[in-house]
Amino acid sequence: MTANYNAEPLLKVENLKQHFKVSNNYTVKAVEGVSFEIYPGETYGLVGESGSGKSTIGRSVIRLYNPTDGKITFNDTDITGHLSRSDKTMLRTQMQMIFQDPMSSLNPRKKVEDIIGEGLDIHHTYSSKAERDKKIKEILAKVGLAPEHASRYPHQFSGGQRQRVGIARALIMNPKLIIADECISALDVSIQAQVVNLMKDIQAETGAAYLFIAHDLSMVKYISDRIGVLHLGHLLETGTTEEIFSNPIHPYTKSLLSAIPEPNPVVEKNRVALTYDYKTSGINYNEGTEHLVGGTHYVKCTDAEFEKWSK
Amino acid sequence: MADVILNVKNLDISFKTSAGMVHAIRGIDFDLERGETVAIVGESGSGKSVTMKAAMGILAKNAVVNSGQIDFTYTNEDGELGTVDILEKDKKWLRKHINGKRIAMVFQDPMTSLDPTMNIGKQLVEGILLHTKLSKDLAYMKAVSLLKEVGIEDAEKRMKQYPHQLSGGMRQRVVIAIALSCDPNLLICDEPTTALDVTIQAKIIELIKKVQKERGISVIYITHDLGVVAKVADYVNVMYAGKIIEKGLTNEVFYDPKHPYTWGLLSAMPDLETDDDRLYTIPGSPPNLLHEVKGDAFSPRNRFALEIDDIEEPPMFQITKNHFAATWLLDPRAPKVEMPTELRERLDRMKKEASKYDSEL
Amino acid sequence: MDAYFVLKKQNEDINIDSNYASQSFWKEVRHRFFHKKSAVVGLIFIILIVFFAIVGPGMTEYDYSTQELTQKNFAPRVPGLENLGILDGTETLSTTTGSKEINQYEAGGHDDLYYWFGSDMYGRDLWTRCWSGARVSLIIAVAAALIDMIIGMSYGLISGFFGGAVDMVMQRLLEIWNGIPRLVIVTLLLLILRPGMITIIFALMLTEWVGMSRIARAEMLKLKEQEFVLASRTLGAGSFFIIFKEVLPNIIGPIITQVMFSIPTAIFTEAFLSFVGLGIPVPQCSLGSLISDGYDSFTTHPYQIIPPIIIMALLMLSFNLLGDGLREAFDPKMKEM
Repeated sequence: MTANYNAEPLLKVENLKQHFKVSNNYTVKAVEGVSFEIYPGETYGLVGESGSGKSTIGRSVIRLYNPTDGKITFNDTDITGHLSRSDKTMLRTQMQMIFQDPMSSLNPRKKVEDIIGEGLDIHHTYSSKAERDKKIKEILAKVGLAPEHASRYPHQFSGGQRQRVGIARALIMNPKLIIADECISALDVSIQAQVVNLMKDIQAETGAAYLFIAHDLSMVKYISDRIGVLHLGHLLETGTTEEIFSNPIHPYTKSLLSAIPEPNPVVEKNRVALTYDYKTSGINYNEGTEHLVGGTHYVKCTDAEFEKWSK
Repeated sequence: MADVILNVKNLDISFKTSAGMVHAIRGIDFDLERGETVAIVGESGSGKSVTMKAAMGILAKNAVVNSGQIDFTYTNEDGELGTVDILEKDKKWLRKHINGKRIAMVFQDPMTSLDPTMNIGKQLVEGILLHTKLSKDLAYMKAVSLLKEVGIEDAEKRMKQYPHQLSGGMRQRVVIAIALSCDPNLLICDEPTTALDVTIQAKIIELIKKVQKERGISVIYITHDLGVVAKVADYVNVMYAGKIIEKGLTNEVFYDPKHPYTWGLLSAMPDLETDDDRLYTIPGSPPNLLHEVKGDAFSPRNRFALEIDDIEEPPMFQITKNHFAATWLLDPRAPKVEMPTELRERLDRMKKEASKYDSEL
Repeated sequence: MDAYFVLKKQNEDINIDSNYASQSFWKEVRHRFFHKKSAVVGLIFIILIVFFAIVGPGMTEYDYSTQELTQKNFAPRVPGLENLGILDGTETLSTTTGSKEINQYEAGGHDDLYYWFGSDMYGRDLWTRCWSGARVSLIIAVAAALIDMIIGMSYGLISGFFGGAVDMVMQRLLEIWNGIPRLVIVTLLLLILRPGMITIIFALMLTEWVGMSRIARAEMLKLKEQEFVLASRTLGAGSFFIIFKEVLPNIIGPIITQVMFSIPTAIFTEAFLSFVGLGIPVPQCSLGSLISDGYDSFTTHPYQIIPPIIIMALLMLSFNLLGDGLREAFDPKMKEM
């Protein structure tokens, strides 16, 4: 199944702001007015350096944080503010998350079957123990682990295997949206590819949409249908993967693209990455507004900047 | 061969653990010439970090060196060339003469190698005073010039700052400055950029390259990032399960890989033109070295494994002057096996792109 | 040889990753624990003392409360050892006319009697009293430590998990509580309530849980930002599920260790209370009251105070060694704590 752009968006984030009050006179503005949409079955890549707010967005969307301002609509339901019991159940089953660190994302004192089965246990979605076991075994097979792994503990696994367990935990709820928060950056290259393949297979089979948060652009390009470029809490540029990679408008996007390492020695040794420094660039993100470049390609900047860059 | 500064011969190391002996390094040979950059590539657990710790003489207490020799040639205090076997010297001697002085190391996380309670200047000056006979004022001046050398602006002002006041990239620059403070002969970089953002990664690597060129020191990169390797290395050693399974000039290994594991590594990293539905990957996970490996350690994960792989370990086959690979596929008796077509196409694409810069390819 | 140069048959299973390590958490803990000799010695002594506390009082024909006023202040006499000239029932009494050696057993014609630790000023067998005293002390200490654990742990976990205003209020309350001198609380309590084992346990419980709650809170603060806790929240787990099902199993190590350290403290506090006369009512005894009794006749009959002191010292030392060993076994990196 590929992305269905004719349907209503599965997730709609409008002008999301997430501030953290550190002390009485200091507030961290992690996310500043970000808007984007994810359609059913689509993969939306969110890229940016550390501190750009990309992980915060993921956590606000799944309501690990209470958004400061803005509106998040998921599955035609407003999930900002206080949630009713049924909305909460819907959110906690239909939206799932895969975490970054395979070491800390699994409870070291729980068996793999109990980690995977946690969602089932919380929402009582099985009628007998046999049914629960069957579901767990099926999921294990789907993520490429052997059934005998069910009774083992997380520390007995390698990083890639643990990340598979994390995926199985999210998958068992049959979610419509999976937020993958840097879920491959802690893995070895060959294992990264395994996990990405697995995620693609799952998408083809279940039609789940992904919010793929990462800093590795080559993987993001490979897996995403559309991409959003984030810097200092602002969504600077968004569009289809093709649009962003073939026609980057914002200087920050350009510098990001120029820095992607390639396993090509001669090319690499001759390449010089573009530099981009927000402080000296003369750009003020707060003054920018959304400008349509074409198709679904938007860039956040002032009118003058837009004219200059898009020439 | 006068210019070989590090020569590792038949290194074999085990670790005593509560579960039994873990055979982490199973016979490694490589050498490094002056001014050269060698990359050691491998997944976590392949033994690449252990090899470098052995070279620094900072192996953990439970390590047992079964055999091997690490000959390090360096300029000693009197300016003469000397060669020592690092494995034979005790830790105290190494700390005094080698570590941080002749061999310096840059770690993945700059915060772990900086003292959070001391300002940058003090850390730098102290390192210089410890290893040289300079006076305090001269050491201070040297520290400032080092900071300038690693591309830190307002060096004098930065000297008074503490590590937490600097950005990640800046911290790594400071770590490099500290590493350079004693004019080492060899710089070991252990995943120097994995903790940094892509845009800063490129800058740090360019910095290390620049410093190396100016000072003529040798650099060993330990990394799993093939993009970094492609950018910096002259030679590549690919490690798997405690052995080097392919080595050669960077161009040879990248444009004409021979070992199925290297094939897997290269194709696991999508380049910007990859459109295939699936990435070609290496299935499974690395073996547990607690159990003695019979035959080729890679065989269980190898889509191109031969029957012989389970019986006997493949020797190093020579392909060109510098290019070697340990796989039975290179044996004349083996059936002809080609690399996966996805990779073939990718390599052709890479070569085509590369030929824009270098017409020989 | 050449026959082996063919491609291996590939089955589909190559995509199923069946590698795993076999080491288990508890096996490693056991391994590390038994490698630390002091901890093992501590464990052996604890087992020995507990064993005697259970069967010791039944090993003689005496019981702890029967007074035999004709047989008071007999020195220790042990069958077998008496022939070697030690512990044969003789003691040296220093009187105003100089010291003299007497043997109460022979003097009183009790050749068939054996008081292994001697008898006290009311003619009660000290062996029986020591071990039943150890039994009382152990019960009080273990019960107090366990109840402390439950209260302190819950308080700390809840305070740490909810954070913010809840944490603020709970911590201030705890500080106020901790600010009241413990001896004052205990003394007042023992004056109001009927003295006895339950009262002492209650008194110890009121004051000892603070340390435990601090440890539990610190561990909770450390763990609650871990991704597995976040994962539980994204799955819709309730607060109490996360506190007790997710976090608690992960802090069992430090908690057990803390219990091991709070047992000797409880033993000592109980002994102290008994010593100043606020403890177990007579004729029952605990290690503290035995030491107090022995103290009265320390100058004339020193053997009466030695056994309870040795038992108590061994008990406290052993629990500390055990706690230390467990701490390192659970978390080898925490040595500096």
